[in-house]
Amino acid sequence: MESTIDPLLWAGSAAGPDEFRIAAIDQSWIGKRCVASRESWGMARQQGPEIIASDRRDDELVALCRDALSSTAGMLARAVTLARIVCRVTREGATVAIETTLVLTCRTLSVVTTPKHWEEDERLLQGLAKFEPFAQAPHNQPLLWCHGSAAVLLHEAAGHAAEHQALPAAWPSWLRVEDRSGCGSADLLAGQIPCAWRRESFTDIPLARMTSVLVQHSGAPFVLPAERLEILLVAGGAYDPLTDEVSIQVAAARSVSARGTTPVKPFALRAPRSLVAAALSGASGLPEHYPGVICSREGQELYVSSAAPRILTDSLPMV
Amino acid sequence: MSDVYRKWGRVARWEHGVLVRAAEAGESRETAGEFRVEPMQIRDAPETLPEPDVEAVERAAKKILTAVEQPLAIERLIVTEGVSLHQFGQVQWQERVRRVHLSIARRPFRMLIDAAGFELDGSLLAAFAGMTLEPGRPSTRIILEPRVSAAFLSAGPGQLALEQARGQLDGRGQQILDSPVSSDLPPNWYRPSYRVRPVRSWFNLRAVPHGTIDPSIPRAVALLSFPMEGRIHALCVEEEVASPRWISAGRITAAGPPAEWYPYGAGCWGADMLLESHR
Repeated sequence: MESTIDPLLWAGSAAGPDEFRIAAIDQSWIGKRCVASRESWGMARQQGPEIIASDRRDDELVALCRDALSSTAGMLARAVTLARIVCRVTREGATVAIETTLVLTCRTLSVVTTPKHWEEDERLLQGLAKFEPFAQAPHNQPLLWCHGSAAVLLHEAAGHAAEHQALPAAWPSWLRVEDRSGCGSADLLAGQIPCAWRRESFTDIPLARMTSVLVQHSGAPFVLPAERLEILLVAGGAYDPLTDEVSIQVAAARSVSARGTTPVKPFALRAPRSLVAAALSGASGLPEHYPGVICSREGQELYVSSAAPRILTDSLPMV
Repeated sequence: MSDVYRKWGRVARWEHGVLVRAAEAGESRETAGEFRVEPMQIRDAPETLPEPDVEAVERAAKKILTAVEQPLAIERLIVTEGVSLHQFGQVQWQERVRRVHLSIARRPFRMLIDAAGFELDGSLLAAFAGMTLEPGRPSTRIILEPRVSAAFLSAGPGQLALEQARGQLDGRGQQILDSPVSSDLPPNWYRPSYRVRPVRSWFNLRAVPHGTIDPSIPRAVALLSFPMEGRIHALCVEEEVASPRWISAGRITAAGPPAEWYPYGAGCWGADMLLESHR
């Protein structure tokens, strides 16, 4: 049977609002050597409830993508922890977006970052990886979310909950969590769905997904508890819409007490969203850039930039 | 030395109410330890690639949507048919596959169904809809039905005699032959996509049939989460009462003949298996 999907029939038309085009290069690195390089391109056009997708090439996007990769050459030469670099150039309507993300890995820790932030993030990563934690994280201690890591907690508890239209939680009045994108801003605590429709590739369906999570506060001072657990880096998180629970895997943390500061082993937190909301007890400082988040939903992995001030929460249950 | 693999594929996928019809082609090669992937053009396929059966995909999706009624709700439904043409060296072969991934919610539980065909077992829906929300009483002996035992096999069943069952060709165009599973390197290569570096893997895993199974003991009929860390969360039926249970995976002490193939990893055959569980 002859094909009824002929990309030539439609791909020559100009990119309209229902058309998505992409060119991407994804490279894996070990040390200073590229061990895998994957280039891809394609287009998708939505017609009502149907998407026709093909690996038809947009030459301009492919050139921009290769340029984006070339422009990282200096960084590639200097970075010592680079494990992966992904350049994506997309065109939706008249908008062309270029996104370059890097995964830096040092021992058991890794971060996702961008060319703008990679140097500070590499320093952070190397600093955290110096310590070999032997101690278990103590239970029942207040948590100080440092380096913008509270953005991950709220990405799960507010962002994904909003995407799933979860019931409102009793968030503190001093807290504001927004998702910002070129399509607008969504108040995640109010349950507003992210404005941007995003997809990983041309064969994926677009979903309302977060782009840039910004956590802010006003008038929420706190007294730093003498005994606390400081969360420095998060390995991952999840929100389960059926149980309304949030889970966070903490990759690096330290226990602070009168006896001193002790790095602790990785641990996981899991709590109902209502408990997370009730545990938020204060915030200080301006939002700090957090080494970003690769957000995986429906099998589609997308980079979400994140920033949050230092936030104090009551203890949350460890699992 | 360079190993070049090429794939041309068309897929019809129903997902979240959207039908995606995709056509793509690409090649991967390994040269001096570097794995490189580049797109090709679907129109350059060396032979005509048939279309996936779009109507069958839509029909299957609609049938499942209709079958799932309150108190159940569909959390995720992906129905796919793909046709592909593979080429590795001088070997060229075609493949047509069907997949269903279904997650059915009954708060706070979800039942997970993965299948290599479009038929949905209605008895699972009835059991899940009628399930008590309280955990069933612990049992040290439980029968894992094929859709549960296949997932258990793919997650690593511990000490259990396993075989690779013959199948089509692997990711390097080599025949998949009947073979006992051993601690040696598997003879075949698994390549789920042209974008993924192939890895050695056992295909079509199945437990060697052995022992006898008392059919009167409780049965785990469906997964409520994927087996991990030695535990299975399953929808269990005992004396016609369905309940959710956590099962500490112990030892498989009996296995029936392979009943159905499931698309976990490079494939697993499910069978009735008797699990002697830790308390």
